[in-house]
Amino acid sequence: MRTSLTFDRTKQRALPIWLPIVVALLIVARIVASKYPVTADADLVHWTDAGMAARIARGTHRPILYEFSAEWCGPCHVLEREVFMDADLAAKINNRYIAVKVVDRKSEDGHNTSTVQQLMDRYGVTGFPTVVIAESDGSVRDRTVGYYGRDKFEQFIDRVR
Amino acid sequence: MSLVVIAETLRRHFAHLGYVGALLLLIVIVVTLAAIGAPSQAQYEMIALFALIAGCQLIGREFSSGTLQLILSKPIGRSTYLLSRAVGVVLAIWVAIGVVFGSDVVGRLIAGTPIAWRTAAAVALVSALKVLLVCSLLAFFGSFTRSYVNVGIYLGLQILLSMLYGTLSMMKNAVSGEMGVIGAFLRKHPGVLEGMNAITQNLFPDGPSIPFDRNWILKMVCNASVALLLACVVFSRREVPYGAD
Repeated sequence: MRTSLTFDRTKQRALPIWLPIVVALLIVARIVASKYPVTADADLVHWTDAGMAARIARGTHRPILYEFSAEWCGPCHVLEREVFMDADLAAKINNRYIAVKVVDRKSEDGHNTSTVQQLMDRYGVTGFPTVVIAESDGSVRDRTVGYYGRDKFEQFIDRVR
Repeated sequence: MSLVVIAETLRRHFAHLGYVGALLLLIVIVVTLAAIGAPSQAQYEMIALFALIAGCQLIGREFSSGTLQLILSKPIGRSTYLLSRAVGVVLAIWVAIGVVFGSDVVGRLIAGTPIAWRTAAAVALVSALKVLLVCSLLAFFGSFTRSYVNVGIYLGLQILLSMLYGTLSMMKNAVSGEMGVIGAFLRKHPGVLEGMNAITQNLFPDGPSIPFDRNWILKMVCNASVALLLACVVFSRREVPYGAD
């Protein structure tokens, strides 16, 4: 056992050898991992292409759930984390709706694609996140603006039958 | 790592009236928030404040009070002491996170609101890793200053970086006058703003957009380890007494 009598005080200022090694390994791991961003199967909701949603909705007799969001929108990410990545809620959405994600890119690209802009104009989207539940003919059944927690969102989904 | 220092740091926290009082207050707030069905994320916002308060004396007090000489008369290396102190403080706050998690679950059980286990675990992990990074940064800032000043540097840097980034982002769109010159420069060199954003996101990162994002977890652990390494390098070279009152 090491005691104060045997402790080499000249080494008191020395860095533990394992520390720079661990830091170096972590930096390497971070650089390598950054080449493989985690995106796949993050969302449990089966998103449908906006152009095909109406046809599928007509065929399955299910309404369309449009989620309007933007990359810079913090509450949109919370909504994604707490709702779209929640197994129970995602299953509910998948079973009841044809889900369509509409991402606003005005801030990043200066403009939106015509499909995105048409949908935003049609449903009068002015804030994010906005979730619209619409029939296959485009008529609105219900909508919610903003995110007020998982439970409130579940109530919203359950409200529209 | 010195178990004695870690245990003593934990003991000091658990025996501190402020820590116990804050924890009790936290339990009441969390149970109330959970009972009314607030999102799990809200409960952990208070942990950030907890980390700043607990972390402000992580290191630095030894210089101003002159106790470092006494500590270094024991057979312990400076880096070992600093790392053990950091681990002790982080563990003390992680205990608080565990209490918040438990209180959140209890609150939801009492109110009969559903428990989103995956979400709750994800936000607890985010909070725990943010605490690790905040404490590591406070250890680094404390290694060349003193108690409380490290928190000042941390908060000042956070405000300064976000203000600077916001101002430059606005200037980027300017087309006339002196602002236009700066705007043209920023448009020609987008790396300036991207670099600033990268620095901000590494020092004061937002939460991950995907729960349990491997890359985000690695970023937090990696940045914390770099901050601790730098803290050890500075701390091992610092003379005693330094700025002793």
